[in-house]
Amino acid sequence: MLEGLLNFPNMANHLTLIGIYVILALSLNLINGSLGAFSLGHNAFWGMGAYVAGMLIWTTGSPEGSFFGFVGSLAAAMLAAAFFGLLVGIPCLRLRGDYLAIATLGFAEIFVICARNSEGWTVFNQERGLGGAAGFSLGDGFQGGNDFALSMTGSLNGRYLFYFAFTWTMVALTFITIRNVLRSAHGRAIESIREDETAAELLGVNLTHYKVLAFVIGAAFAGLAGALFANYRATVSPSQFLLMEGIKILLMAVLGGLGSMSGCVVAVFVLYVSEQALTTLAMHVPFLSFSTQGFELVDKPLKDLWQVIFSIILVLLMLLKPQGLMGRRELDRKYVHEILVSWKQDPILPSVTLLQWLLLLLTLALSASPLSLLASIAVVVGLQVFKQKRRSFRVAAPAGGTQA
Amino acid sequence: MNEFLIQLLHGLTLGALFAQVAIGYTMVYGIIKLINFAHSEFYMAGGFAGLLSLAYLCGPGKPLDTLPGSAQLLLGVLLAGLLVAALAVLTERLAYRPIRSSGRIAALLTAVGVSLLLQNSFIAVFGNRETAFPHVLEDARYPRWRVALDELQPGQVSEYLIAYRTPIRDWKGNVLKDANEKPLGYSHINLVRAGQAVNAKNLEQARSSSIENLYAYPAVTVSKKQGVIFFSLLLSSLALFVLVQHTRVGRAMRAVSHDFETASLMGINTSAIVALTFAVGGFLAGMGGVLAGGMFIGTVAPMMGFMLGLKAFVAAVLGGIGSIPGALLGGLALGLVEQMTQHYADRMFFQGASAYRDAIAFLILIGILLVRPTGLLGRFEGEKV
Repeated sequence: MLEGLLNFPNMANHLTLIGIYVILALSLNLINGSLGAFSLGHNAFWGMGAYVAGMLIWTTGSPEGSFFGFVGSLAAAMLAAAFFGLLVGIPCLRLRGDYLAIATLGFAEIFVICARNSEGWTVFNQERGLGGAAGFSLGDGFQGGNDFALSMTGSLNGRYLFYFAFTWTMVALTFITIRNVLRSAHGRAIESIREDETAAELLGVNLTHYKVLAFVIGAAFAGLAGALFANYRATVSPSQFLLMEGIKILLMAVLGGLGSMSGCVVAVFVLYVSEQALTTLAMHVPFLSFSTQGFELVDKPLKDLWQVIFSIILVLLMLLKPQGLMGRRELDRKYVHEILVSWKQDPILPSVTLLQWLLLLLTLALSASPLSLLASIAVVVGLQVFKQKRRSFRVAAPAGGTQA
Repeated sequence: MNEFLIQLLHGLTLGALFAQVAIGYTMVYGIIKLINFAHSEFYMAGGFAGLLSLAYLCGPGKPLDTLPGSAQLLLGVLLAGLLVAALAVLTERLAYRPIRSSGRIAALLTAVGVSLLLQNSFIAVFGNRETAFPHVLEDARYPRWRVALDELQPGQVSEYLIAYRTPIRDWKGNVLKDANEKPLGYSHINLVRAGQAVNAKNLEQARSSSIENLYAYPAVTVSKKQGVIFFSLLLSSLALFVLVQHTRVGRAMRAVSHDFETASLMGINTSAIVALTFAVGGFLAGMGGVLAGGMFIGTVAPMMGFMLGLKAFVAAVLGGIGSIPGALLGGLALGLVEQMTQHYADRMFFQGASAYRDAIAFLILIGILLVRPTGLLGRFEGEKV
């Protein structure tokens, strides 16, 4: 179970990965949410960053590593991903809507296919090229598996701490950069394209320029996430950057609310925690399986339960709340104020929500049996039903609250 | 000449499969302007529906065991088609109809979600692995090939395709057996390709394998399997043509595709037409799934729809999305291009070039989208401001 979640390296590991996903979701949110261009190929930019950074460390790294090598790999990955974004963006952004989605998906698939067949690219390595379907390990080049963070801090725990701190510094940097871009005149131009392309063009917004600009910035930050991921995991392989990963990032951005940056951060936490919970839960659930003898109940871990739930979440989200958790709102003073006001009017609903989250997190962190996890999920679902009942009661009541 | 002809046949067979699935994409897009990502999963579900209906109805000791193979196959194809058509209508009713008014991006995301849901549900039940398909149609064995194999020298061009066969196992590793304790079917590994220079290592393996594990096909024949796939495409596209061009329902479909709102004002039940479109597309995709699973590959897997679905979509775009003849043309063209790439790219460009054949389809897609977004046979529709 997740009893190990609270101890140090596990916690730092999860938070580092969450940080990487936050950067990805924020950069995709810039393209899909602010620009309104539907890109399905974000996994390719992520992978591009990871491959470039990994390749640099792999070919030029040394056992003890160096700070400049590390930072250099990040910068190179950003530049490479931005260039790739430019390459994809200039032709693709002429298309609209679902054609754009399909074209970006095509580029992403080409990237994955090339990465899978990269054994023959002997420019990079005489024997293995870029590793093909198996990928490569960053330490291979110098027979070490050592890296800068490890040699600087001297211990594995120090490495975890370093990557946790560094990733979240990068998250802050990404957040501030993208927010500032959006608040500038450029950002307003980008958002005007989302609202109405024709009107924006009539107002003198250079469509191609701003579309490509937003696309390239998004790609560059995805590349940064890729470089962090490659350095942290110390391995790079095509299977880490499949279409499914791209859709996962998309779900994070959509769940948070396309156009809401803080919503993205919240959504990444929500999805990551539920993924961990469901994966753990699935370890203990027997399931119906098919063999030549017919259907039978098999008592073995169903690793894909998370994937099933994940796709159900995506469909339900689109059906019930297509604008996401927070719509285009940000988690700012005004939003908090509104929440506080509604809390004062009716303290029961928000406190039940809080209770649900606390319950889930506590059971996840402490529980040692699937039974208690199931029980707590049942309680959470029950509370949700209670909330629905209460909400519909309040809507029905003539003098009900003002909360929408 | 021989070599090229074989590749042409293989390419057209592959293309027929693409076209069969592409018709569904193009019909749905023509009517509600939605890229139905779940369509590739209808194809996959068709494979499994055929597998289950053949296993439960025609397997050893089951009620329809005594039927001839071709009748069993026909039954499997029809049953799978009907089941998948029902699944398609259900999907439309539950997932697509509620969000039809909330914008194309929401619809696209829902389609992606439905596709993942179907894929992952099948993975959950059947496992992320290939399940063997009962072999219904077997090609006749050719006795003369064994003599030819002994005379063959490395580097020579073989007149036969010689394949190594190994009994099909279920996922637990047990050999699948019928009532007479014989293996239920075999999966084949090509050792010697017809019309190609023979590799010394493969020749050695072919000679050292025992004769009952080897199978051979002569160089230029349309095998039964390819005939069946072609025939089914021909028949279904003919039926579709009659349905769309010469019936009342077909006229309604064309009207809805031309202008959704005006059609509904003219008293056409648009919801029923959309459901019918999904049913027809689903039926064709289900048929394609059984034919591909049973005839072409020999196994079905939950992920089998993913790549084929993307390529069928490329075929639909290539032919002009919204146009049914376009989907047929695009499918056949894409099948040919892919087969030729797989076969000739290694020799023409560099060793290993054929591994990039999947990328070709996407390059074509991007090229077509940029140069001629309406495809080969599509008509241009100006965007309304």
